[in-house]
Amino acid sequence: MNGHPILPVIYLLDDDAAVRQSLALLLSTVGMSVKAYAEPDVFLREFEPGLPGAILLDVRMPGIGGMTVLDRLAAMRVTQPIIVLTGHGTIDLCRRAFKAGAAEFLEKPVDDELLIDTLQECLKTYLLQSSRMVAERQARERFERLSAREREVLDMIIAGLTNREIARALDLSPRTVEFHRARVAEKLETGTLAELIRHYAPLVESAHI
Amino acid sequence: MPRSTGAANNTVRIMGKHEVFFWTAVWLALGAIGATWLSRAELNALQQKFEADSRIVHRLLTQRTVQHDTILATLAASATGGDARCAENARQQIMRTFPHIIAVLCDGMKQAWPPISRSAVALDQGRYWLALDGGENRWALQVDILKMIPHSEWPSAPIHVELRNGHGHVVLQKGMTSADGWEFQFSKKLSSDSQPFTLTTRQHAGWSDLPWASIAAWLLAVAAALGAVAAWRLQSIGRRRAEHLLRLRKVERLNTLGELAAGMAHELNQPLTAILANSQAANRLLKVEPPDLDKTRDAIAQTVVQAKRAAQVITRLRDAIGQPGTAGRTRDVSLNEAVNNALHLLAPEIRSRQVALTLEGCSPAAMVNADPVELDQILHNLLWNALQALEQVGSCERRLQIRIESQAQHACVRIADSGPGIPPAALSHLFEPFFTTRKNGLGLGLSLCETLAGGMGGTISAANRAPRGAEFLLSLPQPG
Repeated sequence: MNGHPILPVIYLLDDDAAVRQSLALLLSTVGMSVKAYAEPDVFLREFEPGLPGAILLDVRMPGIGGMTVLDRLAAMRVTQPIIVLTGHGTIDLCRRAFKAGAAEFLEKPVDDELLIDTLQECLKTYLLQSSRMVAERQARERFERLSAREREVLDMIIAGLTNREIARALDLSPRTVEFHRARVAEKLETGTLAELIRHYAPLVESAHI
Repeated sequence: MPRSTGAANNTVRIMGKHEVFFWTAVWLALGAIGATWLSRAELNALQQKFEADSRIVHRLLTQRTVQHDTILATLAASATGGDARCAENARQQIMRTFPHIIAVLCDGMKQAWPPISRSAVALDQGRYWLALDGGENRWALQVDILKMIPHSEWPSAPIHVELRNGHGHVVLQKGMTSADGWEFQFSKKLSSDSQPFTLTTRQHAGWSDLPWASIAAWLLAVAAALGAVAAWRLQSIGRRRAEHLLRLRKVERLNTLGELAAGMAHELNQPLTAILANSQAANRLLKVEPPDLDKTRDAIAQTVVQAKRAAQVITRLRDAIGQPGTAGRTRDVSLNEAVNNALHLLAPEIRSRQVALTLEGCSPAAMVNADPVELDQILHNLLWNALQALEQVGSCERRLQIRIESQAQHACVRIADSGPGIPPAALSHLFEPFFTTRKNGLGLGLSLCETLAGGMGGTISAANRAPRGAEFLLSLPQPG
């Protein structure tokens, strides 16, 4: 997703003002925009799941704890990567954080290289995944526009049959197959056979199941 | 191999209320069972004696009644000679010989013949007539029942004796009667056709006849035995509790340490995170051209603030824990006993490692002025260290020597092991906090020992021994 119009936002959730200030400053030096929150409730209210970004979370907080925030985010089906920051990383805490959907687990005090690299890595993976998800959703929408006959034809095109073979299999004239094929290409907005196969073979296969 | 003697247990514990009830109830129950048994045995013995006495009385009375028949028969036989004087000599002699025969009558005598019925002997104020119809001569005897048995032949027991027939009864001896207590009774007919009396004897056994001395002795014995059992139980419960408490204290200390470490980690990690992030941000800010100096200055200022905050956390922590002062908690403690206690607690470990233990106590016991709990902890740590060192040598070479010495101002205990000894480089750092030669050691044990010993005015030192092994010397001030 080159040149995404909106810059990813790093949501920073920590009850300690000094930690919020310092991490925000550090991340700003590499051009990341940070929204810092002290209160988990405020964060959960203001967090926008639709916007690209990542979440930096301290698990030891007063009020509802970091683990609860993790659970809430999981319930909201948040796709943004969550990086857990903790001052006393026990194996148990680490295991629980990953189980609750954390992408990474870092110990305080955290080195700038490690934090920035981790954030960038997570963001890259996330953006790649979300663009893939957008493409998949588009493909599914287009695929659903096809009629039953057109799906049959698409199925056979992907199976590698020629127009003549398809016509014989479906007991149609080659001209009619040609017509369907043109409709399929038009509806799926694909120019080449290779593109058609790359984008729609998984969908056709999943439709078989 | 000389073994350490069992540690003296000086646990003082007050019995609970329900325990007192329990032991009293057991004592009363056992006492009642014993008292009943003793009383029954005594009453049985009394009854047997009573029955024996009654049989003697019965035999004596039967003998007398048979005698009466014989006398009458003899008189009748001797009088057949026709002596008209009715054998006066014989009469006198009979009455002399048998004091209970108070009258002898002969048909020939011109005296009023008493009302005698052969079939039913009449009892008249303890006297009765007995007659024999011998044909020409009739003879009769008057018997005083009360004199039938001379006093010397009576059984000594105060039994009630009476004779009765169809017409009346005579009490030969009055016994005691009472409403409460027990009564024995014996009843048997005299074996005489002419004088068919029934002998009835009774004896009363009262509360005073019970074997009170034996019962008291039994109660005392039971009380003593139960007291011993209760004391033993209390002592073993106390010992178990003391051991349990010690274990608990250890776990508690570890938990507290863990909690402390976690709390400290969080409290320190927050400012450290800020310091690191700020300084690294400053570093980055200075690298770009042109450097953003305002932001950099802010970052450095924040670093200073956070560093101070971290220092405050440490200060607060030290204030909260406080230095282990011992003022007012020290008292006179027997060093011998403390060593024995520590060895007793580690006895299973010493046994399982097959360590040859030598304990040289000193006599009289070395006294020191110390906090007993802290002294315990020091000794426990030193012994535990020695045992761990011994694990590194073969089981036949594991020797642990403990010597207690009493000097002018100090008493000290030497704990020497035959382990690998202390590496020379480690010797000077041994008592520093967080210094350890063990893989998983925290490095606080010996440091704590030294702090505790120092707080009590003592010292602790370590040295290597020839040819091998380490020796720790704990020296504590003597009382006074």
